[in-house]
Amino acid sequence: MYDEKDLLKAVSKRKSLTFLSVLLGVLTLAACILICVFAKPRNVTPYLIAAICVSTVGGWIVISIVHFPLAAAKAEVKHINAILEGERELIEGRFKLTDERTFIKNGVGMYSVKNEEDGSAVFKVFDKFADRMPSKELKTIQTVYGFVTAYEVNDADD
Amino acid sequence: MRTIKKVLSNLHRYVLWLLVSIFLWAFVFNAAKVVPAGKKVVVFADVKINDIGALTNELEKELPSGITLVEVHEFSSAIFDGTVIGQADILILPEAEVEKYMGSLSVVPDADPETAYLKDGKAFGVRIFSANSNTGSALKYFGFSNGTSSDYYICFNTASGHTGKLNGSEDDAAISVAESILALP
Repeated sequence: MYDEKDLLKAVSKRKSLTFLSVLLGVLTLAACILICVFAKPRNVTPYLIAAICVSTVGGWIVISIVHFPLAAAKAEVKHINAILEGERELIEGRFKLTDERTFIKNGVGMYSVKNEEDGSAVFKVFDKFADRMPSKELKTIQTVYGFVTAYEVNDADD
Repeated sequence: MRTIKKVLSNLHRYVLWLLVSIFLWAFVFNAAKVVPAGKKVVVFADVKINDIGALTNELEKELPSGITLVEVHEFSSAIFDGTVIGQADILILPEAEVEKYMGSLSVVPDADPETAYLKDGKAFGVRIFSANSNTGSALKYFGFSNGTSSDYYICFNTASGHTGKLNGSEDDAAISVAESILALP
């Protein structure tokens, strides 16, 4: 389920968000410098308040981008990279994708894959790729670090 | 719910950035925009000023060399900032107040004795408004005739660096500004 295209897409998203946050930061700084340049020495206070407001709001937007979508994009790139470079393992049994959504350490969302034989949910599927998996029972799954990377549908289930 | 939790977990960053913005820009504006005492002439008037903006605009039409700003404060500003009087280069005071500030006023050697505030034969100010004749300078800008009827004098702070020969400096910007005030209708 993971391929180089997914990695390129995630890297492109990360780069776009990084560029956007840097651009916003630079624009905020430029706006504040312009306010400072045009401030009249006799009446500095309104200009100072304007610069503080622009700087604060601009900074908050940059913080919001860096800590939410950009952090998620970075985690996604890291996750896909790790999966692509990881060692694959084939496991046979009876597995089924569940609706149980969890978040791994770096904040990437996952759906659990349940082992129908013992009821445990030890494997995970990246939530963005969950729609690539059928709701049918799976007889073989390929995993890397416990994340499902490929599957084989149990035809007997039909 | 998870988004709210994430925002709350980053709350300290938003608060910290707000504080950084306040201190950073206050420092930058203070360093870049506050005009130092050497480049401005400060006028304190112990009288109501009708339109400070119009008066400063008038006085800044011909600024003395090296001066970028004329700052005018009226009596009410001294209530909120007691340092205004001490920092002023030019003081416009009612007769009764001249005696009070005598210790910090420069002697004006060339003043006309007829219109000067004299003490022990020395002139400490030049009359800007005569209560008896209800005449004077800059009547359009200063509310001399409002309230108590008193003569007003234009005086110079001994601590000023802009009073030229009055305190032995070469910079006589305060004298030029005072002459401009006296020439105003």
